[in-house]
Amino acid sequence: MNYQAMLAAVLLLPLLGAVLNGFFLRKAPRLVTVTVATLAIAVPFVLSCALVFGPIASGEMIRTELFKWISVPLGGGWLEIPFALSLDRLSGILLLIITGVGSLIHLYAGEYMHHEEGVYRFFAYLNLFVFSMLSLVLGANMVVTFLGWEGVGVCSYLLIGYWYSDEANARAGMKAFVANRVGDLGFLLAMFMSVKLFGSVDYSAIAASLTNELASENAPMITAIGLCMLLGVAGKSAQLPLYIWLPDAMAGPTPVSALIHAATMVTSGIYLMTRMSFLLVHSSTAMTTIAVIGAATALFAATIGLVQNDIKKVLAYSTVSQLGFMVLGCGVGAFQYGVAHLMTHAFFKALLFLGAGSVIHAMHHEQDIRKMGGLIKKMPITGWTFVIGTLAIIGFPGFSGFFSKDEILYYAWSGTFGHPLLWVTGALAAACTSFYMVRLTYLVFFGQSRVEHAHHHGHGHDDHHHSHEIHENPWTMTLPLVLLAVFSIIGGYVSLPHAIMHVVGLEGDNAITQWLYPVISTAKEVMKAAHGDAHGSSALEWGLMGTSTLVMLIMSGFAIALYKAGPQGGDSIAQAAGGFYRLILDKWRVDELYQAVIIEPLKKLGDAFFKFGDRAVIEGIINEGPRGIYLVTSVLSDIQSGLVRNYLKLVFVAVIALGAWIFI
Amino acid sequence: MLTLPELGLYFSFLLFLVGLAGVMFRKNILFMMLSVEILLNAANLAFVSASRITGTIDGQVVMFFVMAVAACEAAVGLALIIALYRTKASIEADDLKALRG
Amino acid sequence: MVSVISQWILTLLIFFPLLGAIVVGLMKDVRTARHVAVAIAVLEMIFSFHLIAHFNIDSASMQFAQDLAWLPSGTGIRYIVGVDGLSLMLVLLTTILCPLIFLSSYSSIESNVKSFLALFLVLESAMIGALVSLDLVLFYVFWEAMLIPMYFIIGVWGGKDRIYATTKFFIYTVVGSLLMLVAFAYLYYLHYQQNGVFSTSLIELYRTAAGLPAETQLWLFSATALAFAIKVPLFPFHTWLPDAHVQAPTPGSVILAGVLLKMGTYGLMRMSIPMFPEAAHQAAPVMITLSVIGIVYGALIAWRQTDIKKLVAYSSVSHLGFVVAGMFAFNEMGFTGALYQMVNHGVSTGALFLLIGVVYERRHTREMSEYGGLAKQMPWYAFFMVVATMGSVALPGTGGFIGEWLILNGVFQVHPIMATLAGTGVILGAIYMLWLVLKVVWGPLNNEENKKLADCTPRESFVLATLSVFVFATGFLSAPILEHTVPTMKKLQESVNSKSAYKTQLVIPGRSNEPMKVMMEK
Repeated sequence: MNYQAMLAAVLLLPLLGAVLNGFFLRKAPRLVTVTVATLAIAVPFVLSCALVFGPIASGEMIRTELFKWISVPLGGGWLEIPFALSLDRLSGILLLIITGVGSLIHLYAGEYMHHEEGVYRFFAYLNLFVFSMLSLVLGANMVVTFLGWEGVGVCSYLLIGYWYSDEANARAGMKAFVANRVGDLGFLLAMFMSVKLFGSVDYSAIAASLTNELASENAPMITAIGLCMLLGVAGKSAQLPLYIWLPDAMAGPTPVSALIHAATMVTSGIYLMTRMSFLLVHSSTAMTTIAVIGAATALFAATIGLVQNDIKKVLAYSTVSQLGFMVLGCGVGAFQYGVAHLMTHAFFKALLFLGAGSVIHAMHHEQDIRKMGGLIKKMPITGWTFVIGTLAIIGFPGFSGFFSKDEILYYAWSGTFGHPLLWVTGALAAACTSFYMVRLTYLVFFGQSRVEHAHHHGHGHDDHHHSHEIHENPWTMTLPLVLLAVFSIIGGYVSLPHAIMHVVGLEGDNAITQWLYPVISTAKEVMKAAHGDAHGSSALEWGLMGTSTLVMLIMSGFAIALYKAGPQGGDSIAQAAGGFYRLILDKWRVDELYQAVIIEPLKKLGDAFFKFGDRAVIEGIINEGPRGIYLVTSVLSDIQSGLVRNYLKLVFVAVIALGAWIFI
Repeated sequence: MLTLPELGLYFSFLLFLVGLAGVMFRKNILFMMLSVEILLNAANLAFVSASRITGTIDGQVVMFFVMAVAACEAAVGLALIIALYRTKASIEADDLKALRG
Repeated sequence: MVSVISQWILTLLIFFPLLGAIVVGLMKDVRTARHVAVAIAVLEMIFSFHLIAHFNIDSASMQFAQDLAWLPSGTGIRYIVGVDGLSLMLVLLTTILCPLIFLSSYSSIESNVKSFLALFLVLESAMIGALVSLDLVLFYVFWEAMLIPMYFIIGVWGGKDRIYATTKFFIYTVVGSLLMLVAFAYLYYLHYQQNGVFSTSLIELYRTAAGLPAETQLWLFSATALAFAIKVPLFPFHTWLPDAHVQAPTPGSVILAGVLLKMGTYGLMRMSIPMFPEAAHQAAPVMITLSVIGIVYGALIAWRQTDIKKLVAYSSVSHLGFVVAGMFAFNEMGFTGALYQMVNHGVSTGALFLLIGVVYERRHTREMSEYGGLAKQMPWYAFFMVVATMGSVALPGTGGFIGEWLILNGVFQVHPIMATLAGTGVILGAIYMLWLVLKVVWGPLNNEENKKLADCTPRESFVLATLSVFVFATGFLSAPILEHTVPTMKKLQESVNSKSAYKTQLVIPGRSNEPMKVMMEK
């Protein structure tokens, strides 16, 4: 099998899985459904490994054109948009994450969803999601990427609203879709501008035609493209001001949260920015805006995470916050570390979500962390892997998050578009992260058990093979946890800081920088040409690393000290903060703000258009016109008396008049 | 001094005015019918007189046509009046204004 | 043999349904009549496939043309028909939609069935006639002939306020078309004045019209564009549409949204723009502004409707705003996108009206609040609904995306601000369509009456599945489909931008100056 065919197979197998499950295996046993769905992702994973570690690692790029998609004449030439896939090192990383983490989550979901009716629907959506996600990262031009970009949005819509019988879930799905759509408009406009500027939407064609002269001549347009892309990123990767959908998206089944709203879909913004890095770096306005948005999101979401009590909500806000870090990384010009953090985050956040799902599953859909506690004794594998995930996310030295996050923070200070203030914001966000993640882990797995036993017996669904005791889940759920935990530890070593590399005697760049060199070299050269070498010193790096480690340790210790006795530990602080606490607990009331400032006025406008515009004005004019005509005609119609004599008189008069006119 | 045909023309004009006044001012359909006959006869007289003046035969031919038409008209008209009288019990023209606008 | 068929195929397509209407009208048994009507429509569809099979995709000429004497020769009014890339798409859309509509009418039309079927076949005949005729008088005859069956379809088989709706529909359309008739007559006279002979051939009149002074062009453009804008309907001439849609029976709504509205946009692209390029340029800002207003206005109103049919009707106002905006961008992307979007809107909105019909037949209400949670009871229905919605919100992978993408892209190249404003319609589109799905398909199944609803019957499923396939097929096979239209769109663009006459010629099979592709091969 040649590489092109393999690449096509990677993309199409999940689609095949979705079609099989969605149409042909509706009545099949659960085992068949799950096996088909998992294989539809696992086989592509194997193929991807062969591709990425084979030709891609040796520097090749695979490109294949499936069919001609759109071709229209454009100003003398043609705008040809084939359905083309291309696999390079950047998409390679994402390919492995999507199929690898995806396979594990499919395996896990098979068990997690075991008591659901009609589970084929779930797996069809999930396979379809993977197909969309793959076309997003494999697309050789923006339109194919956009197919995936909106495709993941739809799958996310369907999966968030999977339990549609509760209207709240369906509403959350709709909210996600609409917020994404706002971002998609940005992406669309960026595409249109590319067509205008380059006459193409193909990444490599744009890269080839974007010269420094072109960029400086069209600086406003380049900035506009960058900002429109940022809007797209904000929608998909849940950045300010469009992040509001992600916390609500937790209404979906937990494997969905792990796969879509942590590991893959939400990181597509980072993928897109890295893909377009060669263009973005031409505009310092766009880059600075990206960095500021990223840093602000990181801190903003982290503050909300501090006080949430729903295990998934905490993780959701932490995802928004971590995405902020990644965007910050891209914004300051350290694209490779944005991608590195994307990867480590995919591991540890998927791990955390699956761990949370494991807990929720064992506790029969209880999500309030105040009702948990001490679970590590009953669920050791889940517990300890969750601890590893927490250590990774808070950046405990040696764990993956430490390396990727610290590199981003270092560049936030010293990168081309970096600024110490960005570092301060990021470090504050990291401090909050340490606090809420340790709080979460401690309240769920340690301390006294606060589980209400009565709760379980009230549960309706029939699970006779389950005892009501909380216990560890079967291997299909724990195996993914263990594997993800392993990667959460070792995943960070691809982005070893230079300072550490010097100490251990490694030369050159770290693994991720080397790997992504072909993708981001243009961007680096542009930045170097425009802003000079923006390297900080080893001392600065050590200093920043030390500071953030110290902050992390202090905040973690503080969290443990505060919640040692149970969830009420934070009450005194909450009371002291008063209104401010409630404001954060209500998520800064951003949803309410949008409702009042955007949604309601638009609704009122719609009503006004209908009642006033259509009914009163347009219909009024339309109906008044004939009424005016009627008024005139009623006068004329009075002449028509119906009396023959009168008609004859008129004829007489008319004849006289006519005769007079003709003869005189 | 007027010749006979010329007198006939003037007389036909007077006759026409009488007929026209009759149709315009009478309210009884029967009298209106009679007035219409007068109108037709005025026209006949004009035709014949003109025929004499020009010395051609055409006018006299047309007169016969008009007489034939007038006979038909009288027959149809009377039939209509009878039908009207049967349905409306009236032959007043003012009662017939279904076409009023 | 093929050339004989090619020569007569359009005439066959026009008159076959008419013949069918007579046959159906004479049938005794209602059930047989339904079958026969379907069979006629299917045959018609098969006939129309001859057009794709033998269409020369490299040519922008009027193919399969026929030019016969019709009225006395001194009048210059002839029977001229032919298709190019523009009308080909819409003819196929019509012939493919019609059999599906006849299938759907099995359950939606219960009274006076034979008259309905016959009228509908007459309608099909008139629609195809209007699309293929290249003589203004012939076009006008078919254009008005479409009105009569539709008037009765709404007026006889419609809902509660059907008379009001159908009268409104009739008057609106007639006012527009009379203005158009005046414009045509004036053009006819001008042509005589310039050339000394009378002619109503569109191909001749393109030349005459494009040479007129700008002011005359503007008047004539306004008159024709108004007629078409009412049919589209373009804001602010749209108020007849919600009423007509709401009152029309399901098949009526489907054909109204599917094909009749496209007659307006087709007319703009076939007549107003290429005939009066100078005036079209002057009017473009106004037309684009009106379309963009329509997009946002229609979308916001659609969002606030509680009547499902009204919601979809206003969504049509919004969607057709895109079409008009696209064609007034005057570039290939805009024209191609507009044409493609006409087809897609026909498919996805047609599907939506059929879906509304499915539940309306079961529950006899169109209020959104009466529904909810249907996915539980009617899973296939929910599936089709979501597919149609995705087609309607222009998701990539559906045809709507290709259309809207090309339109917005085309408009963006010339009026970036307008394109951005129109782009908000994409967001609003998602809001109102998903709102509809949320209220009808998702949520709890609370209403007792909904708990015993049956899922789609095999017949309904077949119709909806066919349309669903089209939704996706147009989304992925756009290159081979658009191939047919490229030369036409290119020529249109060139003639409009050079403000010169649109030059095209008839290619009469058998004795043509431009041999058909098929004949070269054989």
